[in-house]
Amino acid sequence: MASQMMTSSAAVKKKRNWNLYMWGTLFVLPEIIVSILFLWIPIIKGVLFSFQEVDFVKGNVYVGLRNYIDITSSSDFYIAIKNTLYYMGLCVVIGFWVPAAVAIAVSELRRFQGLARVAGYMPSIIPAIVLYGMWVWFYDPIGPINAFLTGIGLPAADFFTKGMSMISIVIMETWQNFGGAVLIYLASVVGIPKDLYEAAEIDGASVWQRIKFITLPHIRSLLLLMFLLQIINTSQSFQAQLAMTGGGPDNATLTYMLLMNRHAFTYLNFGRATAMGTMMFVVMMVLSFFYLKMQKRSEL
Amino acid sequence: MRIRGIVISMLVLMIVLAGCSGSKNVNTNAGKATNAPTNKAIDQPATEKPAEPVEITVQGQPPDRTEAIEQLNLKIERFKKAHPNVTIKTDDWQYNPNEIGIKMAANNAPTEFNAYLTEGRVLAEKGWAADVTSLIENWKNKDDLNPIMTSPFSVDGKIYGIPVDAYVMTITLNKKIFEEKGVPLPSLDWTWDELIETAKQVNDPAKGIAGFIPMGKGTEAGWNWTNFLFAAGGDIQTVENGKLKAQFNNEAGLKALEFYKQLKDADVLPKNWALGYGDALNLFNQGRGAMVMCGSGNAADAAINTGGISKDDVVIYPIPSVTKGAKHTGVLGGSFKVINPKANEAQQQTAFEWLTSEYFTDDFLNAIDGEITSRKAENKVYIPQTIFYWTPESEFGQKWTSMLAKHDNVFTYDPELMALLDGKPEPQYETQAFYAEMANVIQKVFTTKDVDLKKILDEAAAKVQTEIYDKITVQ
Amino acid sequence: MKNTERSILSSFDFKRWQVKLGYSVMVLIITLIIVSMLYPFLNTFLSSLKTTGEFFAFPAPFFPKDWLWHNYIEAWHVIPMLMFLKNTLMIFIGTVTFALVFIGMAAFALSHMRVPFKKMVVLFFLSTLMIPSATYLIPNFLNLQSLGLLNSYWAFWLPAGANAFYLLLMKNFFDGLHKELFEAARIDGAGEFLCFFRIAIPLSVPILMTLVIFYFSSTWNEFYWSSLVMLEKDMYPLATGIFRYVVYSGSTIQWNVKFAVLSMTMVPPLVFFLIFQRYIIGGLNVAGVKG
Repeated sequence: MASQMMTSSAAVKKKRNWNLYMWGTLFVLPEIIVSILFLWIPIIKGVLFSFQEVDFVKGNVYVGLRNYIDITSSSDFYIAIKNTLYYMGLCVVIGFWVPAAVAIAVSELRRFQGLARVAGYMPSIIPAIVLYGMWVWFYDPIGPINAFLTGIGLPAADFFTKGMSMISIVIMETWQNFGGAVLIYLASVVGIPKDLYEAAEIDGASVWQRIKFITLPHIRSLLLLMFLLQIINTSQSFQAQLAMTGGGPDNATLTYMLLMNRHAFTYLNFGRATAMGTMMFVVMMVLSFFYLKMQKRSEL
Repeated sequence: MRIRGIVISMLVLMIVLAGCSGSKNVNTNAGKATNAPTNKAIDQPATEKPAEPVEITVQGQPPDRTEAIEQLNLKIERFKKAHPNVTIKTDDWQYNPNEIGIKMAANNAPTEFNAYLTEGRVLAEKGWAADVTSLIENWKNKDDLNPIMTSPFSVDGKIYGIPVDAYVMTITLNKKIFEEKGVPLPSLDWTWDELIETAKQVNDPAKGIAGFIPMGKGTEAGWNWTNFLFAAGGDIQTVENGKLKAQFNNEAGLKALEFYKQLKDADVLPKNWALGYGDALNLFNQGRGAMVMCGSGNAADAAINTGGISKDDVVIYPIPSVTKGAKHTGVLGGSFKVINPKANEAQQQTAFEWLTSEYFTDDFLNAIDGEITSRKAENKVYIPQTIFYWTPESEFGQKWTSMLAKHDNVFTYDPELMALLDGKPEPQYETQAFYAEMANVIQKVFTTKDVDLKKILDEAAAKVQTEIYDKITVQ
Repeated sequence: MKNTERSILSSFDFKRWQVKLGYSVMVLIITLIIVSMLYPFLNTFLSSLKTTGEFFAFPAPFFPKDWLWHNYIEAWHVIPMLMFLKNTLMIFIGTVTFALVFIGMAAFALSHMRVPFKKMVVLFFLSTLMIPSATYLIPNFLNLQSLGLLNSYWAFWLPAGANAFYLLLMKNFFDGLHKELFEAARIDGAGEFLCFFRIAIPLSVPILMTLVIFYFSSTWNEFYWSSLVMLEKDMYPLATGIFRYVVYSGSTIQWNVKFAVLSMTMVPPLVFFLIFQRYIIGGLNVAGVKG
């Protein structure tokens, strides 16, 4: 950096700059090319669809903002936004802390750690019909959970009422998806040098203090990243809702993406579906712009 | 070191580029014409049939349907013999709303494929089904067609497909549950009240057995309910002065919704309302419900051939009539053949010939005959639909009936049932959107205690009217 | 694991009853989780050995009365299992290679090298996550078609790196490696490739293996996209084969046989995970990564 300041002529400076940046640029370039070729080009074309009446036979026709007007003038659109925000909130409250806690716990196991690491990730290889079938059975009016509740003298629960259905889905999803995040946290937790704990223990730090002052700070940036990714992911969730409740009862679990999917694949109206996708894109971009502004110094 | 680095990164890029250009490019494009050398036609004097080579891709069968594959291959042989200029490929892709858009956009759908009658209107409107009006007009068998069959895919006087078979919605009963409970079967000419009464008798909530399983999740919920709307004489929509008007909140609609409320209050429904098509049939197969609503023999097919229920334990009933003597009207559904609109004219013509060449012939009957025989060897039962491209009283219809009668692994419908069935096609506009909205209303009835039926129905109708129907201009 | 190794807890901690109690509760919870995860696995397997009657019986028996192993013989002949398996593995190997090289290099550069407009570049990748993929599903397909990639493995290999989710994870891990390491290496005359392959990669084995596991399971499960991109049966991966030929609606295959097919497809990923999870451990911290 000192050398940078000492350069006198602009040409030399330019060359210096290039030299400084060359390797970094070359390293990122393949990824940039691949992203443009296989993500950005389709994304931009998809966004263009949202201003068109999509017709694959006669050709698309520009219709301006009509798709947007159609979408925003339907009451389901606002229900879906509300539901999605509720769902995202529930996922944070019920689901976000679980994988981090489990990862720390698993890393403490003295035996069977291998099994425990993979066990959480097993739902990812169990066929979806089996998983959904299992949860439908768990939540069945005479299923195991209700058998347990009535067994200990409590009233049986109804898991798919208007108030409960979203919560039931979030619990199921947390169970199903936390294993992947556990692996990610584990990869970070196992990298914490052991002598840090040793030193802290000698200084008289309790177990809880060790977690609080060593483990958590070490995975802090990862927690932030995972939080951001979870927000992005959950904002696009629809599969569990589609499988378990189809968006019901009375639209209580109709998420934004589920509505978008309906437009795309039930009503076969791709223009409207892409308009919904584009709106989400714009909103998320604005949010992440503010996020980056606020987190100026933090490494993303 | 530096130079080597550059070389390596160039290599990476080259691999990327090579991959783009060098990979093999296989296209089963139905639409791409296999261009015939035109100069040949000039050399030879024009005969009445210039045999230019044509390639079409026809609908294949998934590998587990060995008997159907066998018959398909035989048909291909026969067709090729009669049309030596035609090359036939098969594609076992099945119509699926999740994929049809891409298939059309990328032009790699087969030249002909099967689709549901309920999709007829959408496919025609999107331009995803070829207009075959003139082909049908010039077809020698056009007057033999069953007129009820073409209506679901006819739009503004144009026909967008070739009929195959159809069904009217029915209610399938599990006789075993009735026997275990000692409940006699109701009469085929039953009413709504009899359905509730019967359901109450076979119902056993403690064991998890429901009297009656209506679908409650997704668009299926609306589809199931519409049967009662139709049976009560109602309509989903009407066209007045070029404008669409929601009709499902009229008296018949309210009656049908009240019926659902009565079922709920009588506690004869499964406790879990969230049942889609597959979920409902699954409960029926598990013996957790005595009655389920489905297209003619479709529930029976699933129950007998994959659900492990004996052929003799399944009975099919019509949708009950609202009062004694009223009609047993149910939704008409089924399948038809679509010709790919992106295929060229010669391909479309050939595909039409392929589809219709054996209609009304013995070859058609023999093929089904052979299929039933092979099914017998696999211990499977053949469950025919109830309505076909031919009319039942025609000569061909008689032949069909006697062919079926030869086999003992064919599910037979009670003639009395056949007489009672009354099919009504779905309306023409935005049916899926109506079904989706109606699903909400039904779920409200199923999950909330005190609902004002009239109010929720009116609200749904108002919503469908302003958000969907008012935006459609009827030609 | 040897007892001399420690993590947060040391052998001294275990002498206190509070720690013992807390630890026992923790072990109990983890055991419950493991059991709940194993349950559907066992259930699928046992269902595949039942008769159709037992399969649909309600309430369903957990164990079949007779173990019908011949369901597996039938299942084996339902689809060309080995051909589909080969395709899945081909897709996986290419995908993981391309992805890790592209993503790894880009993540390393964004973390430890000078890249012009770094923040913009990060945003360039991050923002691709924010648009639901259904928005560009059809253009994406048409794009592959115009590049002539349909029906080839390249359609999966080349775009494999275009995954911002994994890129950001990778970058986050590289961020945890100390800058001084690379600076020291550079002073010693090491080039950037050496820094990347000799220092960064060996230090990131846990996250790399995690990503390998993720890529494996996503390749293993993905059926929809490949059923569109692969135009011919010969090219289908296993998941697509099952989606198109086993669990499709209208299939006449008995449910116990379907479950036998599904059970068979659970084994390879399980073995794969058990092998690769071993690398998600500490102790690879070569001298130099000290706090």
